[in-house]
Amino acid sequence: MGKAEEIEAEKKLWESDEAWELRKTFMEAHYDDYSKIQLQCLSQLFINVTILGCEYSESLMEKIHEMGRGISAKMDRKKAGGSY
Amino acid sequence: MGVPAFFRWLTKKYPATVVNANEERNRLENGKRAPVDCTQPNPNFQEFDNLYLDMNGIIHPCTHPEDRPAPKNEDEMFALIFEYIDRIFQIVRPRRLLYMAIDGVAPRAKMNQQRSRRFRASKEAAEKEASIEEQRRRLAAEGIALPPKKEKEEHFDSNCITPGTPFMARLADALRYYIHDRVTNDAAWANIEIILSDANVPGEGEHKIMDYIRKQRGNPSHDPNTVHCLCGADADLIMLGLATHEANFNIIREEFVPNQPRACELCGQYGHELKECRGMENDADLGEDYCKPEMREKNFIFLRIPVLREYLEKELAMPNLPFNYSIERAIDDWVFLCFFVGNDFLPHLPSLEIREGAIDRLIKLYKDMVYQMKGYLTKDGIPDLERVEMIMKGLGKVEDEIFKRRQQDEERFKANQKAKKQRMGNGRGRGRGRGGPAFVPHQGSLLAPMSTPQHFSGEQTRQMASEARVFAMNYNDQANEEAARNLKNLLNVKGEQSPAEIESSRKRKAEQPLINPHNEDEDEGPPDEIRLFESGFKDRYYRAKFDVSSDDLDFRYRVAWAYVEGLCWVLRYYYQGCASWDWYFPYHYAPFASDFETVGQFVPDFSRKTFPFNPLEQLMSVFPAASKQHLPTEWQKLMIEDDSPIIDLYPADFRIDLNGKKFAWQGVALLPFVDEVRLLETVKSVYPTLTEEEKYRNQRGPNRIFIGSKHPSFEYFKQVYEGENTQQMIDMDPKLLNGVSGKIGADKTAIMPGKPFQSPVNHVECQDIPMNSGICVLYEDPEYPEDYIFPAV
Repeated sequence: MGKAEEIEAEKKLWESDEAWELRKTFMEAHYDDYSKIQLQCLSQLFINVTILGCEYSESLMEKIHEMGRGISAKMDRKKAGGSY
Repeated sequence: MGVPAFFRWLTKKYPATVVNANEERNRLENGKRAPVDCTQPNPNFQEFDNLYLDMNGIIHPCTHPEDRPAPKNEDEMFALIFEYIDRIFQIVRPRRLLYMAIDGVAPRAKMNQQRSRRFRASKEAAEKEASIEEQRRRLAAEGIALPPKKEKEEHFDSNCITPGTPFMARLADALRYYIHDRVTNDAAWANIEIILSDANVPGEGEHKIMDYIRKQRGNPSHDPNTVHCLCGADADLIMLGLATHEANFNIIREEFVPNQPRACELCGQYGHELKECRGMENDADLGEDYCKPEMREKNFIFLRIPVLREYLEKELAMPNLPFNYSIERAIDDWVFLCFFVGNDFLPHLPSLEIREGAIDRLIKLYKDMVYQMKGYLTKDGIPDLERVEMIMKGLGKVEDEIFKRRQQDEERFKANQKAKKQRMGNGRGRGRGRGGPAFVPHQGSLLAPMSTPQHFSGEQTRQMASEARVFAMNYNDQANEEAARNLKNLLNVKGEQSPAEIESSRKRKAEQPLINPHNEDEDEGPPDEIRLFESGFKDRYYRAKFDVSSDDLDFRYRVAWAYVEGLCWVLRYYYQGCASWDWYFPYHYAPFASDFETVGQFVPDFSRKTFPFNPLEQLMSVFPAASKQHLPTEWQKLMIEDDSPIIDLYPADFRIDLNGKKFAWQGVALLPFVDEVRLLETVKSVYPTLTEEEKYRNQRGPNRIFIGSKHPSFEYFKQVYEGENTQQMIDMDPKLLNGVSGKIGADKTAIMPGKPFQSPVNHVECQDIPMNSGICVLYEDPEYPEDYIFPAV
């Protein structure tokens, strides 16, 4: 399986398109640097922080913000230009 | 299900279902309960055969009571649990069977609720601790004496009441001792069977009980006249009772007493709240009818399902149906409709609020639609989804009307509250000065009441009327002047104060809140971004709650299908047992009734074989990191270390969406759902670190059955320990057990009759048994083929 298929296989049945786009972009950006299970965990962390508003340890929050830089902002712009 | 709300609704609508329990309450001179001879006839309305205990409803109030001081240690907790069971036993006096079921590993669908409750419990505990600390600091700064701080170890983490913890293992040991003790020493226990299903047997307590009843019912030897009594407070027990279709089913529970006084968390005294606490200086005078909380006893009530069934027969009468009428089928549909309004596995539909009469609304709709549906909604716990779609469409049509009405009611309520506040005057405080009338006529006025009829001439009357008018017009000024005078008198104290005056002034100071608690606009609540009462509410709801764009209809149908799958799972759970251990509703919010417009096409499939988690795996999926001490050390690390592959499951803090409700505990905890595959994959790495004891705790365990030496089956039970084939499970003889069937086998851990039994509980009430006369064997419910459907009726 190539990178694209492998990432596509991560989509959960119940995930909304918006949340999936966000997670997918995140995974694509960091695909080469992490193992599959770490990537699953980190991308979920990213979603939990940005969509659900969860908080984690300071170091982890910093890491997630660093890794997600630009991704959610891009999404927000897309959303704003979309169906609002 | 919203327990208090459903119970209140049910008992108000069908009052005769409830009767108070009669209980012998003699006490010995030392204040202890006098022993009761339970072999005597039952003091209540009938005799009972079987008593089932949903043990978690007993464990919680005995280990961390809300209305009295906490027990000092675990031994005391266990002794309290035994006392509680004794109490129920002597009210119900079962003649055949006592079944004790502790919650085991639950299905995934339930685990999400457990997870949310445990995370909230930790969050609340942390917040409470912080506010106690703050109050202590404030009082200390004022130089007020404080009670000593509680030791950290003293705090009981109620999260340990979850299968797989050391606490639950010790509790199971304690209960085995308790059963042996009673079987040996109490004549009322001599002839009954006792089944213990501890936390190592998977399944929720009440559902293990239901599985047992269902499987007995399906057996030819079952006695259809068995009188059942189930002890527990959950509203869903009513559903379970109805779902069994047993002729004589009863529920016993503690009566619900609203507004129980709670001890202050700082000083442990009653009569004030934490923010009003004055440390050691609190006023100890609590009035004449004050009774120490330890001595206060709650009454028990019976809820008689047969009476409820009679009510429902009237309520659900549907004349001239185009098909055969069956009250039993109608009752099953009623149960199903109640699940729309609330259950433990799905969030309730936004338009169905039990306090707004949602059940009545649904039943009315059902009775109107049944003529078009040409059949019942459900059969044997399996819903007909085309008919479900029809009902939901019916509800969908009036949904926006419901939201509009709700908003109007709320506005009216707010206006009333505001007016009331103004009527009561703005002054804070208690007693006099508050709630006084706005105008009091003076003595002799035309408007003042008089004892006898008086004769006045017209001129006199006119004069009096004019005086009364003038008086009334000046009333406010006069009142103010008088108040000012009184105040001056108070301030210009001359000479010495009398002791009473000193006392009253000190008290007034003590009553003063430390911070001003009344902020006029405080109860406005957060701004409502959804506005369900304005058109376009659906778009706003889906955008705000699910983060999807307003044109994504496909997503709405997906949510509705998931919800309907959930309804099928829930109903099956009550009528057939757990259909899937890993199914759950993967959203935090419910769809609207009008989104159900395509569910008729949905075909649920629960045929895939699934298995419950092991106890430690369940702990990993329901505990916050703050309760990690109940897990083995290496497992704990997975909950706290940044590079743990499942660290995303353990947020340190999370948001609670009030979702239109007033209190945090009613809101939705926005926690991530557990990724089962990744969790199981990750814990593989820590499995090798388990000790033997932990391995044992992490196992799936058996049910056990106990009987005393006078029981007709005693000799039969002894056989399983004799001969060579002690590994095998053998069939019980229902003739010797009042028709109960199943398989029994040797229990390697059992203590044989004739041997001494050492008490695992260090308490005066829990002495060693010098010679145990009970026998304990493993027990299995009768078996049925995998695709067997239990007929509901």
